[in-house]
Amino acid sequence: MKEIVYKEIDGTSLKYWGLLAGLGAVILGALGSFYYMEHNGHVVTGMTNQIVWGMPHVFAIFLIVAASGALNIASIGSVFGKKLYKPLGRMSAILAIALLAGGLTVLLLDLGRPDRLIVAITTFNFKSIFAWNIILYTGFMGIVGVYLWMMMERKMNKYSTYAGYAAFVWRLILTTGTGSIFGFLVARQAYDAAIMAPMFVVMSFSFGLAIYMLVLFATFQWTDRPLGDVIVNRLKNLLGVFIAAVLYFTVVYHLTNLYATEHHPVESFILSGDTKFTTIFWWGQVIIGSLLPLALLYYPATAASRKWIAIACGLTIYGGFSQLYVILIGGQALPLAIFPEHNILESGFNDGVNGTTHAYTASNPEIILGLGGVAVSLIMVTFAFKILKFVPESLADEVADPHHK
Amino acid sequence: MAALVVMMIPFASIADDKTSYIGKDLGKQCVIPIADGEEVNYEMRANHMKHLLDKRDKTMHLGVRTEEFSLKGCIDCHATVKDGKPVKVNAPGEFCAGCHKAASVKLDCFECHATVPSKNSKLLQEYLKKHSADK
Amino acid sequence: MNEKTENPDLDRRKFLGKALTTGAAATVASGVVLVNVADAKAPEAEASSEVRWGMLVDTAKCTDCGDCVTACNDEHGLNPAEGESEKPLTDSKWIRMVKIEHKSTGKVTSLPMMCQHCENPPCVDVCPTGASFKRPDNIVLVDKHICIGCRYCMMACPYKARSFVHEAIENQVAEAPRGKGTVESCTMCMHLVDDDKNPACVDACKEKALTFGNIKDKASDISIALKNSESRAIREDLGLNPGVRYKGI
Repeated sequence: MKEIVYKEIDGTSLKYWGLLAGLGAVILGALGSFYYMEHNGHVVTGMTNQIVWGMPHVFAIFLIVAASGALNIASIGSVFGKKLYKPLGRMSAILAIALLAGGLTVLLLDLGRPDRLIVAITTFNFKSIFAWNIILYTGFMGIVGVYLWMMMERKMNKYSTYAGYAAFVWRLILTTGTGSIFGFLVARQAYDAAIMAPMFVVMSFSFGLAIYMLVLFATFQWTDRPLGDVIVNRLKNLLGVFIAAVLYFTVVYHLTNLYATEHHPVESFILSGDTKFTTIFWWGQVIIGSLLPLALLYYPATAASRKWIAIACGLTIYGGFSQLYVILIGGQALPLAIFPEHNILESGFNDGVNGTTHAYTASNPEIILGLGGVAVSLIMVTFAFKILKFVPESLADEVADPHHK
Repeated sequence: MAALVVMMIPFASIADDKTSYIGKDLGKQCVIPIADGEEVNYEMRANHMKHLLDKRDKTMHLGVRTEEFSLKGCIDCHATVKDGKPVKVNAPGEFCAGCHKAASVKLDCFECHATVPSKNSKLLQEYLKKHSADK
Repeated sequence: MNEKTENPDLDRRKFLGKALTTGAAATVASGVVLVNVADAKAPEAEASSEVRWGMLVDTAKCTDCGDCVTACNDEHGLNPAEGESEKPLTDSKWIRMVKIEHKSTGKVTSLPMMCQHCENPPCVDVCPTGASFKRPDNIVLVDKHICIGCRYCMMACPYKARSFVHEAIENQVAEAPRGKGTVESCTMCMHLVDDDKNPACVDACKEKALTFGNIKDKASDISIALKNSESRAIREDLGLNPGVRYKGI
């Protein structure tokens, strides 16, 4: 194994500026959407007093969850001492910061009073999991920043393992915290489950790695840097394991819910209902978003192709969105069981009369705002790769593989 | 600093020397009286926001409902009346907006708070009664 | 014109104020019994933790007329602005009528639902800024000055008691400030309660199905009624100990 040389990407090509311009346009669109929603109020979105969290939250939580997952690659290198992953650490850390920034941007811009950001970060209710998360997110940025510095500053290299440990522990707490946002909601049958927290940790592994791999492939291909099969195959197999683990947790989550009679309504609503959530669960999350990428990653003909691996990553991300959509919006679409022993005959406030469920269709501004968060993450990474030494010059097998002869 | 800016606002732009506002018409005193020898209530002009903020938390969280420094109390007294109807205090030139516009300070209260006296306001009722008797 | 006849309300209030401060029993001709003198709160007094405001709903007396809902909407300016139509999915509702049918027995019950003013309110636990809070007398409120509009409380409330203000409002009443981008719910008419009056819904109910009072005062009407009859909290299984309880469900 040779010494790894990191080098800024050129970032002078038309393609590079085109990428920045494209992402910039999405961000402008998102700012326009934000202004539109903020000016008119949430009445112009698909969100209501029934579906209180909508598409922006799906994007935001996806990005936040993926952020902690993207850091895994660096952790495997530093914490678990896998040499093969070491050269991938810098990209992993900066991607983690960027994804978190993107997610938080969406979350912030969807608030009813985004002008009160100062209130949000200065007035804390320490019993609130949301408030813990605000601390966890800012802490994550700081710790990963320090970790990155120790990886990149030669004199500090020897401490990077410790920083890596700290970042690893922190990211586990962070995703547990994100999962707990839902897990502790006793009112909602779809969420009231302790398994939410570990499930979110595993989801983060999968989503974060899928995004990381796409960024890695794109960066190396567009900058004509060599990327060897050893690393790609290792990451590919890891992704397969993570996808399977998410599926496993999904099965356990639904099985435990099926065991408790009080959760039967929400289970039949998601698993065998006649709404779009059932379709999105089975087709989006399970078949297209999990089983198909698993097949692509392990079927020899497709597993050998970078293109198919990239498609599998894309499908995993699609599956992740579907999963969060079903958890987040599907979980609200079934009316609250305010009177579990009663049927609702009439209600002045949409309490699910005769079993009616709540409908939700995301409005365009919501979707554009969410995409804006993705664009914020990607533009940060694109820019960072140009100004600092994040990307190895080569990850060809003879450079990256510690066992290469 | 803020106080200094406020002091420098030209007199003409201030609504409180209008003759017609409810409290003045009824001969009411401000909760902080004008200092001896002064023509303008500098204390209120410079520090009303601090008093309001302090009172706001007491009312919101502890249910203290004295008139002193209550925003509702300010409005009940300082609103003007036109054609038998109170004018919004955040309308151009009125008590709140007149000064805030001159000082370029954003006025956030009225995204939530009513801008005219409560229909239950004793002062408003008294004022209307007095002026209906005029006719 | 004679001043007294022109503004009888004002005079009555003055009289009541005196009656209360001198400690006389305050029973008004119309049969309205005011809260006990011991609970009377001077304007400068702070809400006390010796008091816990509660409400008892007797569903047997409820005729599903909706007067309580109308009274609440009028009291807090919740009706759509002039020229605007109702938007059932996004309009705020502080109190609503619900008609339910028991799954096994088929018994049909109508009842008003509003913020249940829990002793252990989930909305207060989850609020990141502390905007959701409990007054010392256990009225659960939103401090809209520090609410950032994240809606986590709405996710956490088991009673769907809270509404998010989805658009700008201009027709607020002075007693109930409310504005775009913040969350709101029943305040148990704290502005009336602080003035020793009943909440609007309670006074609006012709059938007297709603009893309001201090449940920590063992001599209050509500405490006596609670002690001597069967009542339940909605979603009692959650252990939130709401201040609003129901008879006949």
